[in-house]
Amino acid sequence: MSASSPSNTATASTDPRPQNHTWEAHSASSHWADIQEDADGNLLLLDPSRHLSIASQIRRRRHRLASTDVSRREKRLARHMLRHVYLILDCSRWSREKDPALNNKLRLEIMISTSVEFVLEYYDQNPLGHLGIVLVREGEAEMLTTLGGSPKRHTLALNAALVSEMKRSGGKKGEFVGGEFSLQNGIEVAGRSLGYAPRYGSREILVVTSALATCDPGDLLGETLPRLMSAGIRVSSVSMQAEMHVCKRLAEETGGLAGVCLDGRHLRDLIMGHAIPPPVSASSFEREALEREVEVGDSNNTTNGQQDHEHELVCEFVTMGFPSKDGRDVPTLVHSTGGVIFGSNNAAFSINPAAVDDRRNNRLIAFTRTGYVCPRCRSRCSDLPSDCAVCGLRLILAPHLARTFHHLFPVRPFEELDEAEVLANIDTNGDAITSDVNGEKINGMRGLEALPVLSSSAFTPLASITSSSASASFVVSSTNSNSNIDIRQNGSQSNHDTTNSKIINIGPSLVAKSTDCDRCCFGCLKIIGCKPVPSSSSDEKKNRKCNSGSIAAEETESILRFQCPECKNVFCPDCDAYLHETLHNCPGCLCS
Amino acid sequence: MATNPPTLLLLILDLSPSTWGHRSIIRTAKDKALAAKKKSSAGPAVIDDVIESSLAFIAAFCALNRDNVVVVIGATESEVGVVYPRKGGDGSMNDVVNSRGSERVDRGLMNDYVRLGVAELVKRAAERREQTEKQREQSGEKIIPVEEGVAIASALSLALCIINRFMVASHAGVSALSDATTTYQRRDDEGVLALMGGDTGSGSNAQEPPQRGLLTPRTLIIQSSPDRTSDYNALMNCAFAAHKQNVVIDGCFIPSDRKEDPTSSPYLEQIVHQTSGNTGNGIYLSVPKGPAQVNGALSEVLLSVFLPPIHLRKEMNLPKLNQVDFRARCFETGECIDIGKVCNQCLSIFKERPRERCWTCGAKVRLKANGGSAKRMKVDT
Repeated sequence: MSASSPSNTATASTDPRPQNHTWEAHSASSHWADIQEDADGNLLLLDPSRHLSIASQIRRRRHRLASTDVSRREKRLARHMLRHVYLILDCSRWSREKDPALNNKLRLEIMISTSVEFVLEYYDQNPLGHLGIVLVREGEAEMLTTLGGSPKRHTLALNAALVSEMKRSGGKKGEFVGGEFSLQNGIEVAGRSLGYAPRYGSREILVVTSALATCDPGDLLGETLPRLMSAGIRVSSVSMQAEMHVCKRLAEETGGLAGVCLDGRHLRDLIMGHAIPPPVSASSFEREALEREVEVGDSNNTTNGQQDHEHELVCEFVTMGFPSKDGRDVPTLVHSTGGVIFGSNNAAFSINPAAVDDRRNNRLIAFTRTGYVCPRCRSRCSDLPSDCAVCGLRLILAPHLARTFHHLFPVRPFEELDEAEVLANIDTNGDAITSDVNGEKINGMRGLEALPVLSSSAFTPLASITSSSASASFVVSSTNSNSNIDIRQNGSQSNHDTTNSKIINIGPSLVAKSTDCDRCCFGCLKIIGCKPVPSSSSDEKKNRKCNSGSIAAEETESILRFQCPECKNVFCPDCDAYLHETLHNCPGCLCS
Repeated sequence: MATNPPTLLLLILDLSPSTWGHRSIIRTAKDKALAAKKKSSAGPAVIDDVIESSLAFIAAFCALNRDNVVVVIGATESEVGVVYPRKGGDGSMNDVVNSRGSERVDRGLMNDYVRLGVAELVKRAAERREQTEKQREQSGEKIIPVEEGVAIASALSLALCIINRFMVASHAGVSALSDATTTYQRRDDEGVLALMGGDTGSGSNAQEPPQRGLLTPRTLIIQSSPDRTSDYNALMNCAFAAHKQNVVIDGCFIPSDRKEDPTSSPYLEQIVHQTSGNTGNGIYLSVPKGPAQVNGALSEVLLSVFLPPIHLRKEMNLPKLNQVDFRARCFETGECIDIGKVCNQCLSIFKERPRERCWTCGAKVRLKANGGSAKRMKVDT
């Protein structure tokens, strides 16, 4: 939100220049609107979001996710599918402060717990990716874990680091525990290791800082930056306190992103955003282009989403092995990373499980019954994806590739259905629909609130599953029923206003498409896009057993409907979020 | 059994008319032959057997715990639908989610809904098929035939959506949207976030992970049609999402006894394996051919294999999934390969390295001579 655009200040916290920051756009006086006085004369700071209905909060959230989405996850772009990422965590004395913006907890705690989440999310999103962690404190950088493919190792190391760091803070009361933060040292350590990462993958560094200054042995921008550029390392940063100019510069130059968190949730959003593979950057295209000039130049352009069209996509083929799972009656030796295997009851015996934090991955040996057999050297390993301990072949499973595919073919963002528009359309289509009004709904309501009314169909005989006319008696007096569709207009009510509210009877008919009933979510059958009939409207409550009370609670949220642009099915906000953020499938599009 | 938590069972039924029509033809022919020899039927199961057995299974399942909830989803070639509970009416989804009413599963209603729903779905699928056939005849040209197989991926996605809804509801407390405290929590982010256990670290990082919802979700897929290749990625997405939420997926494949038909469903095997990684108790079973599929034997199979609650499974001798075929197929030739070349842009798998361009994404292949020399770029220090 803040700090997403360049600034030329030396340290952003002290001397902000009056442009380009979101908060600067507000006029200073507008903030006074948020402050009010209560009856006792106390000043209250009003949270602007508190006034919003759930519906507009959901809209805001969608908007925010779309705008802060660093990786533009909704778009079909060329992405780095094989990532190598170093996470640099600032454990300097700045991180030992309690931060009121973060629930008054130590920044260190928040940072490490968010990092643990990030590690899990990272491997979930990039099963083929590698991750390493560097801690910076006392002006020095320490490699906590090297690049590797086992989430377990990182989470163990992070939790251990948290314990030991907290002990240090606890032991010495002095405020200088942790020392200074050195960005350069951290980046050098991570960069040196990343330099050995194979070229077909991405090289990225994510810095999480709490410090307001960096204490470097050399010139970060002069010495380190050119080397970062030449190695194609992308540096991103997330700041827990305030923006540092040097982070911003690094991010700008290397094509990364710099962000400053507003609160805990925003911090999490920012960090988790980096779990999605980033688009292949223009700078790396240029690098490729430079390299290609050496080769035979051939200008057959492939289009590539948003990047410069002159750049051609270059791919490289990586040899990978697809092992098969093999179970035997007797335990045999397998190579393991020490991650999953010791937790399961599969392992009959294992050698040296204590050395889990061994620098080399995949070097533990255990006896188990099941293992994956490397297709090249026939050695067995316990968990995938990993590199074969014997021949070094990259071993993966086809599901891991499939897991990564959704980044390439994301579910298209759903469009919000504007209720007024929909109703207008229905009316002009003359779809056997007459506008009906109940008087109390009209005054002062804007288009969106002029909603259809859900009548709770208290009981509908089974026969109505196939013949809808039978259920008509449970709606209001006379109905125009479309043969199989459950939207029924109440034409007989003789209030003559012009709002577009109508009565829908949600009956028990089958929904195999949203055209069967567009008032319930295709995914979870939640009734959406309508309000329960208000019990106060007198002429209706006679013939209706109304259990609107329970539905009334969801009312504000459930007016939102989202439609898949491809299969035209309608979804509720919960399913919209779930489908896009967790499942990455659209159930409607899958059954065409 | 005091600690046995109530379970949410999502039952996915393969209702593809072409498969079941086929089965019933085989069955009639075989039964005739066997009846001539005065033997009882040994043919493949037909859809009636499956529906009957499923209903028996659900009845038994509901008897385990009166708080158990069942949702039945039917899938045909090109449609999926939730057959029980329905969106409105008596015992609607709303009522079930908010656990209104004394029992969460109304069995009489369920039997009716399932039978009627199955009939309706099958009818619609058949009509659709007929229509496309007619169109093809009219236009004279070849319209791409409806893809074989059944929309399992879509049904599974639907099932996960429903599980998600239950979890959101139970996490926020039953019908607690009106509750002031939870509404406050739901501000901004949480309202639409899947509030599944563990997933809700946002803003509350240092808190202990929230308790699981009241219901333990699980899914049972009963499939008889062959796998659909185009569904593979979607199925894997489902598997990973389910794994994330600790949803156990069980698979039951009912093969026909013709030699040409597949005896097992590799995709189903894979998703069962993928989701059972943590707890190791997803079950995959390919029902044996012959008499195990008829005369109520199918109910017995379902009851003895899939009924036990998840936490009891490790104590029982249930079918284990030891050998799973994870070999990938070459995108070009379609053959199974052990070692393949994977494009770093689009992750296509090829047996042989393409010469100039990746066949899938069209990216230019970096020449190896060049790649070899500059394979590693050091950051000199």
